[in-house]
Amino acid sequence: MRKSGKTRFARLGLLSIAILVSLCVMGIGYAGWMDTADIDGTMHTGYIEMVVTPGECSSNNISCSVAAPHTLQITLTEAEPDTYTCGFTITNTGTIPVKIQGIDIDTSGVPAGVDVSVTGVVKGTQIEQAGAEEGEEDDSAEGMVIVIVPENGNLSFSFDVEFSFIQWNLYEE
Amino acid sequence: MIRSRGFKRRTRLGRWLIIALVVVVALGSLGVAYGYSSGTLKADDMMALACTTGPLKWVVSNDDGKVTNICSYGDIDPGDDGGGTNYDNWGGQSSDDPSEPQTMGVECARYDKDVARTTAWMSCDHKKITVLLENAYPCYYPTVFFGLKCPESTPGTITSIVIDNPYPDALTATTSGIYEGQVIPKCGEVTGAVQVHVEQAAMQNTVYTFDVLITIDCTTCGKCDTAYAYGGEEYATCFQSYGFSNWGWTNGPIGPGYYEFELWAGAAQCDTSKGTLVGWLTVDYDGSTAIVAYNLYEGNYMTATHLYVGNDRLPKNKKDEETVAPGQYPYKHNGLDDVTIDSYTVTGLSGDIYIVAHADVCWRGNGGSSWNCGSWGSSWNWGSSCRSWGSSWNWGSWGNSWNCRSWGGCWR
Repeated sequence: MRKSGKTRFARLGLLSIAILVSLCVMGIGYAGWMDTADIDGTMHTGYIEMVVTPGECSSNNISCSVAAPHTLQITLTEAEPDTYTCGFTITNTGTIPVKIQGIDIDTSGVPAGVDVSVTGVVKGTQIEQAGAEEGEEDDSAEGMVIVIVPENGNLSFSFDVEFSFIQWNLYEE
Repeated sequence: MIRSRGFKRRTRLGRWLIIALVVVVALGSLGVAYGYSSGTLKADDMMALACTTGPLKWVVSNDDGKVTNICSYGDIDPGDDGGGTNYDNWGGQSSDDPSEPQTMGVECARYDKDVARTTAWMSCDHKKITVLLENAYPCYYPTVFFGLKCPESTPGTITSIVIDNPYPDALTATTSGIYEGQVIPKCGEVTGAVQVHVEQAAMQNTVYTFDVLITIDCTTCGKCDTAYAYGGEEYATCFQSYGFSNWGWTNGPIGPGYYEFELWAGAAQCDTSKGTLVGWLTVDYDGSTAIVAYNLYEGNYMTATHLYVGNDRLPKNKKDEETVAPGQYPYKHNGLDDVTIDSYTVTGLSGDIYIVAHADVCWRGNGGSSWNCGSWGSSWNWGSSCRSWGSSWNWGSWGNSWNCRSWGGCWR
């Protein structure tokens, strides 16, 4: 008996579909055997930003200003023999804790016999970063510049106090 | 023009078949094309085509504020306890900053401050880990751990590890625990880590990137074949020398002593140049007892072993005729669960003895056709032992339904 064209058509179609679906599955299956793992890294670095702010001074004969970002300029005018002070604040407005690496007093302009010193902060003083946990006040440190004018006073001069900072974990004694 | 009803129906059927063929050809081409370019296509494309998953299984950062426990390994990153000893920038989201690379499961040195943070997460297709270091600074040294496994739990090999670091002055990214050529065992997992060291020259308030690309070859399919111990020219005699058509060797006679024989698979006509060296056999014979041990190289597996030890050059069948058919050897371990070591202790021996050691071995190599990868049932028997991951594994959906053969089902 002769088979109808429709039946042959259907068989041919089904066969083709089966073969091609198999090819498709094989293709996808093969793909699954090769693989890559990608580790994609992004690093955002923090920053150090220190602000040195002059505070109150003990008399009108002494004044304090910021000469450079981390430098205070202390000026004494007609200073009689006495002890003069100027306060200052160092604030960490960056994101990394720092330590004071150095306090450099330029005494080249200071007359002989005048004693200049800094108290409140020393080399190694740690200042945490801004935004420290609530209640913590460690993101700033307060200090004072002390100038002692000796007996033969009435002096006018100025000098700089320069601070340098380093991230806390790289500080070396 | 008047057409018969049958002719019209046939025409409609023909049109539908043509449409169906076009659609399926397109799908087929897509699938095969995808197969050939699988190393480069994006994971998302893959997910769209098949419910397949990538090789990454888990990821843990050691500075994200939590100690992560993975059942198989315990605590991955001890010390990542979410605290900051003398300074706590991130609260519970980070810990004291690591100052050296961490070994998995072992605490590392940390600063007494929590300044920076590193988080790491995996894409849902398990092909990508994103690592994010925040507020990093020189000498910050976080580690990110991860687990790798071949899709469908087949064995695999790490073929390349490429670290792309465009900013070597600013950071150093290294890997540990994984290496090129490393075999990932069947159903097994390897663990690795990426360590990032921030260098002194890193600029402040800057964004740097790096990339680690690990390529795993799971395409080189294995081959299963019969293997025999070969005692070299000194001890081995090919079965074919005794008139058998099968290849294989009997080894002996040997007296008391310790011997090591090679284990060759697929060495037709006893020609080792046609075969693959898959392991070795040790024989420790004290004159009355022989301890015979099969040992396979990494990545190879045995599903059965058959052994003859005796004073005759070959084993004999029930008709007392010499035979080389492994099924008729006196000592058998059938149904082995893809083991790499198997041993026998044969007692009651005396005098010089012969050894015929056979094994059914599957090994990785170039023997198989890539297309055979899909034929789970026949040559590879991955099935049963994969289930040992079991329910204790932390990934919920692995669970008890794990089944290597479930192509269709989604697994993670």
